[in-house]
Amino acid sequence: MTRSINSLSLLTGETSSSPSDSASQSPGWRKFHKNQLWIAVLLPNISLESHPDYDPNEITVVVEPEEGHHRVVVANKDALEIGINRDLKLSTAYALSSTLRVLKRYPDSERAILEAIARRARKITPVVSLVSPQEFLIEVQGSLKLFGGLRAIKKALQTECECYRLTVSLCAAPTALAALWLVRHRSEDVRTIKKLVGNLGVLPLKVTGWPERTQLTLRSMGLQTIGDCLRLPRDGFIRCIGREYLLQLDRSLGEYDSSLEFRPSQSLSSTFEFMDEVTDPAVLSRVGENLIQELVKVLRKRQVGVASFDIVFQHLHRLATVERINLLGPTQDQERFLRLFLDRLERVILPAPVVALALRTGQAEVVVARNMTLFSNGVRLQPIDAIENLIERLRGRFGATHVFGISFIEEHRPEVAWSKSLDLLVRQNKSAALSFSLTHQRPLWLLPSPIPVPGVPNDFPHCHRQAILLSKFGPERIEAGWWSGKKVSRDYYMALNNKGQRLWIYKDHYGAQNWYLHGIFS
Amino acid sequence: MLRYAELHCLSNFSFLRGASHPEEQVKRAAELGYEALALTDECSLAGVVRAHAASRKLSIQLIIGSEFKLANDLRIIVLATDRESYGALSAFISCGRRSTDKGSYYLNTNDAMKYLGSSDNLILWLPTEKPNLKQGKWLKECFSGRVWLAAELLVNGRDQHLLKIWTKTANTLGIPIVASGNVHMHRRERQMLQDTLTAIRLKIPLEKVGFRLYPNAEHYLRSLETLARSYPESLLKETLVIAERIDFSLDELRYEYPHELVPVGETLTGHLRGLTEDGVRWRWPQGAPGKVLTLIEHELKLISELNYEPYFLTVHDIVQFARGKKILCQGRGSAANSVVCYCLGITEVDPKHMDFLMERFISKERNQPPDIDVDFEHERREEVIQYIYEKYSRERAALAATVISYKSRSAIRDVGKALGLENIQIDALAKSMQWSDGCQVGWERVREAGLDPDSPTVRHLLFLVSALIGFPRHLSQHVGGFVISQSKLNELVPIENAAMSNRTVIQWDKNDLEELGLLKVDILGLGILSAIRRSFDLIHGFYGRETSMDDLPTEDPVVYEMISRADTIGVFQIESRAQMAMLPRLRPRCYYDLVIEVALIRPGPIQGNMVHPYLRRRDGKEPITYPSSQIEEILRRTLGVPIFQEQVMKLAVVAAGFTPGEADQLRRAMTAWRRCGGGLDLFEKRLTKGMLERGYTGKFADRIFSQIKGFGEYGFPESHAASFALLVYVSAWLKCYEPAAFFCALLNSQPMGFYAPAQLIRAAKKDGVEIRRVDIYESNWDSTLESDAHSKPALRLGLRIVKGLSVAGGEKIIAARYKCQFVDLQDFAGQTKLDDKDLKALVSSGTLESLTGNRYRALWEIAGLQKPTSLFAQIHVPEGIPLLKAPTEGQSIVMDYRHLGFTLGRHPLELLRGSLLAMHIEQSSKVTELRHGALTYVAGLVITRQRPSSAAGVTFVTIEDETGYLNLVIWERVAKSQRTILLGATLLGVRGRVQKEGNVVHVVAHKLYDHSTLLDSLPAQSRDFH
Repeated sequence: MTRSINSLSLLTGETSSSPSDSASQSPGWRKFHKNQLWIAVLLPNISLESHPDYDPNEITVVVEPEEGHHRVVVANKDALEIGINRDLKLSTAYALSSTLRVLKRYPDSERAILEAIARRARKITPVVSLVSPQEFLIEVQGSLKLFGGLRAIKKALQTECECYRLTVSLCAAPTALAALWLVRHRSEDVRTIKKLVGNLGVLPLKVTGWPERTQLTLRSMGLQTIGDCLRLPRDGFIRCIGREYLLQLDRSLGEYDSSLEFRPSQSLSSTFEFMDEVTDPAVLSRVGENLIQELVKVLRKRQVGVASFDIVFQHLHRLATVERINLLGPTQDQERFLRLFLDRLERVILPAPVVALALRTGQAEVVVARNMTLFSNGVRLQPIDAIENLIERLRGRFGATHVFGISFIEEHRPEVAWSKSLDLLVRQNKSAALSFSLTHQRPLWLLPSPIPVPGVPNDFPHCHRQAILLSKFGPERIEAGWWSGKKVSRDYYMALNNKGQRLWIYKDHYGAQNWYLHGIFS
Repeated sequence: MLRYAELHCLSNFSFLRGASHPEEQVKRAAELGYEALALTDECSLAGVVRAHAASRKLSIQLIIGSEFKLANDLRIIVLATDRESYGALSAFISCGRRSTDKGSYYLNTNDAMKYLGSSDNLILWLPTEKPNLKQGKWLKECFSGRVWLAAELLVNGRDQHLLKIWTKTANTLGIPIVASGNVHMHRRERQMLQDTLTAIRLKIPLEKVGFRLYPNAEHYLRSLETLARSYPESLLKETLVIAERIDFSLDELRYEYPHELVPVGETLTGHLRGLTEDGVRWRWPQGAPGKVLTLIEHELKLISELNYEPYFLTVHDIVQFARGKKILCQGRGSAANSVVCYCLGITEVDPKHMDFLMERFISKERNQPPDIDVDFEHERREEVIQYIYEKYSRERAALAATVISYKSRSAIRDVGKALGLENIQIDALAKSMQWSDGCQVGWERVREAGLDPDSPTVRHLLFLVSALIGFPRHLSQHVGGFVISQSKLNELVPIENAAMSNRTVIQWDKNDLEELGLLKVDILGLGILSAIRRSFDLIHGFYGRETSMDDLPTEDPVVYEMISRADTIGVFQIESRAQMAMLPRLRPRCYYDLVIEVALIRPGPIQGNMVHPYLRRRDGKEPITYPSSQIEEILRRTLGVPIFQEQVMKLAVVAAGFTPGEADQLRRAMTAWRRCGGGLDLFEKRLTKGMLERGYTGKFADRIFSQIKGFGEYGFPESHAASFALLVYVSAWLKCYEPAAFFCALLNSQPMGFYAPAQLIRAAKKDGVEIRRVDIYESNWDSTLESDAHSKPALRLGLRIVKGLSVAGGEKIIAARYKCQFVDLQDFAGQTKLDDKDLKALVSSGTLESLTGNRYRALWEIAGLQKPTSLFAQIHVPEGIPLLKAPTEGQSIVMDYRHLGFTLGRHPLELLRGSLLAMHIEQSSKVTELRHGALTYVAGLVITRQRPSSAAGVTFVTIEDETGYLNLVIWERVAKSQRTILLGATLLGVRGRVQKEGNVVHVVAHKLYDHSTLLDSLPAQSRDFH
């Protein structure tokens, strides 16, 4: 048997808040290493084009809330044509088009797509950095030869984005900031440091993304372009505007290295390859146990936990069997992983012998570990843990969607006064709903839907053949729910049938004013 | 036959709880045959007057009461049985309301003991499902013999159970038990609205309100049969026992005006006569004409018969105080233009100009209180208000309330939120209500907001919004209506805190006060009075001569000539767009023409179609005829066209046989008609019938009635117009003869009037005033007058005109400049110790250019300017000199506009004229030379946009270019299709047709263009551009 790598695989990138921050805080600035070439990738319409509800045939805008109103973030072509621009107030946009389709920004899907493209870019170079929700940077100097030059790389990136139907702008420059600023102005590539000053100089201040206040100060002095800023005396610039902005100017020109690191967050995976085909569950469970032990060691070392993991059974010549296990929250509890693994192993039906067993975790998240006693043997589980374990195991056996709790809802209509809840651990504070159903006599068992009681005349006789009305209770009149389109208007009574069961019945005020059975008291 | 009195009923004056108007509740209760209805809003009597007015015509007893939740969660209803217990209830409410912030109240059992313990109020206990016996015992002990347990059975499934418990409790305590309904709405159909109000009150969407909504719609006024089924008979009968113990109506309320105004030993009548006689000697030093003396005798007799002396004395006292403090003031209103008021100094309107009869204002038959509004300088009104509070104490004086009601926009916002609509959509719909008629939400607007009018939620929204519009939302303070009484005011009407600190308001608004015949004095603020006083001060400062309003030469033809040219920017009342358009046609020649001008150009007369007949008759284009000599007497002054409210009322009396009281009802109905529609039909029939009977034609009757309808709320009483016209004349005189002082005073009184400083400065320049820019050495905070080369006054702009400069900053500059000369900007900043914001405001506005050269350099220098620390104060580290270009002329103009609101340089359009000419856009001065009907293309900066409700969808826009102003008329069709441009453009281009009527020129727009982007190119225009 050979052990394979216990590797970290980089799946996603984390946005460093702005390119300026990391550099300005880093203690030692290094003189810039001249041989770099950065490509900035700008996906200007990503919030529109990646939106799940986007239909290019409609006049559409994506909006974001801002100070009590909504503002247009991106408008599609049709919208632009009728004068709906970026930054327009939504009410104005509506005034321009009554058929306007308004989408709320969907940051999750935006980010997912940006990350996916960034991940693909890693085929070209390891240095990939996400800058903003619509921009990322890659450094390609070292890859130029391998991929056949800048044009080919740009072409490849372009194709990649087009796969996602995204509009893209690309621009290359010897420094990361310059590339970014140039692409924001849709400028041409700049290949050499020498040409940077001239090309950056003409860019308007807007491309720097500096705070509006700073830009306003500069504009109020009649300064319009980056070139205007470069002409100012350095000491005065620091006094008037601030050191960090001067540094950014320097870095854009390659005075300092702007080493924007691609900081990954992680998920872990580990594979164990067998020498030959294995069918024995005992072997699988032992190997699984080892993998889990290894995993937990790594998790503890990093103070992180995981909330899900996949067990991957690899077969020869056919697709792997993947079993996903979800936990109630991120943990690094070895016992828990193991028990769930063994439960699953018992039930899984493998289509073929296994050649390798892999454990692949979901996103690692920071967890605060509980205090442990020095000797952990014989420590009893906290009740909350016990319940969590039980739920996880039940779900493991019956499927996640078949195990649920009940939650009360504050609502007068009985049929909507409770609901199934998948979140079993949310403790119901002794809610008004609960105390309400205790004071108001409500049956524990409510029928899934009310059953018409046939043959009962409109005025329910107090002594009917099959049931008598208990006059002590009722009527309870419920008229509610008009706002949801399911208005009810009923008088509830309690009745006793000839089997001695207490019934909860009501007279519907609508339509034929029929009687219905809604529940049975225990 | 069952009889019942409802003792627990809330109206919508229990804000966001009750879902019916008080009038609706009373009317419905009467329909159902209730014996009595108690209006018991929570800690409030705000709705009782309306209910009282409604109950007058119906056979139902109205009981006054209020619901309370005390600090220990004890809930009770307190009912007033007589005037004394009503006073106690009112004081109890005042105590609860005064002890905490506006909108809430706090009362505990001690308060209840203190206020209600010794009065004869009846108390209903509202127990919980598990009654607190301790509370019951306390109630019984304190209010022995006048406590009931109120049983409220609302079909919640446990009625019988609860009734059993409550009966047992009542028996244990030995108090009677009575039925009540906890009524929140007059019909059960209001449940949706009631639920919505609850959601609005709790600020959560309906679907999350849960059990805080009522489970059913039983909180309505139930029919007697339903009640008989729900309650045991004895409980229903008990309600009548309570109702019979009550013998109180709001009609009993009377209050006396303060007595202390009369010196000891004098009678009211004698004192007023004495003061009037003093006034006669002051006004007519050579002796008053006999006619005046007869009039005075007549008026004094009438005043004394109606016991209104204290009212006149109160107003006199307030006016005297203001005069003592040199606060300009002027009375107006029905009684203000009497000779007595002229003698008392309440008004300056000389009776000789007018033809008033006192009866028109104080009528014996109507028994309606006189109405005097006194306008004070708007910036010094607070001094007068505080004087009143001090003199009469807060227990005896308070401001009247104004009921703030739901309008379409606020209703859409609140209902939309309750229904859980997206904020985006609510906003869009609410905002699209701008410039709509306010009462209806059209389908078009709904679609425009991206909502589907067919969806159930939207249907609910529209239904609820239309039901909610007009519902009171909260009480606010009236602009200045004071109620002052001899005895404690809080025993007359509850007093509560206003949102403004130091203000207290009563719970009734002005209509309520009028309904009950209570007197109020209106202490109002008027900007023009501030400006006039300032003008006089400036004239005094410059020439050293004292001037006052009555010193000015009257009926000066030069002044009227200026007015006739519509050269009236800044002049009180006649500076509006509509007034200016009318002046050249009307060409006022005397004071009374101004009175007519002020009253005529109002939405009422415009809608009533009175303007053109009047003009035609004045121009002699139409014969002046009167249907009868009686009518001639009423309408002669206005050439047969009714213009004033008084004339309409008089017409109703003379031509249709109304009694003065009925005519007054007609006036009220006119006001109400505008507010909520309906209610006039009755009068229409009566008016037409009356006129036909008296031999007038149906056509005449129709015309008069349509004029009455047009009048509505906007009709202007002659007495008000007379007072205003005086201020029109005074301000016009100042503009004509002392323009520098006048515009200087206007600039110092901003914000007021129609125009911004930019237009005022332009107008001043046009009148030949030299305008001097803001200067750190010369300018005070206010604008001032300086001597120009010809020793005439020039206007030095004050520091206040610099946008963003604080008052404290201004003071620092003035203090520092007396000590030293400033060397440079750094020195200036150091000496004045101004903060960054003030410095920046000064620099950006170009005020410091004398110290620093251009603004860009100055901004560079002040950016990041650090306060020198003492250690390094003397060390100046030289810094590199920045390569900053000087701002272009265009850039300077843009900055002037941004930081001053105007420019003393060239007009921006002058710089752009080259581009505009290339686009074939003409100057506005050229347009006036075109013939009527010619096509033209013009553009200008938008100065005002107005859409008067009287103008049937027409929007009036005034634009300005370097040659002057131009008025545009935009019909609804154009406005609708080009709404965005109309609302959004700063530089508006218009293609249209010239419309000329005499000297009045308009352009009627066919198509609008937004040229605002041209302004962006302004900074690029170089200084030498021509």
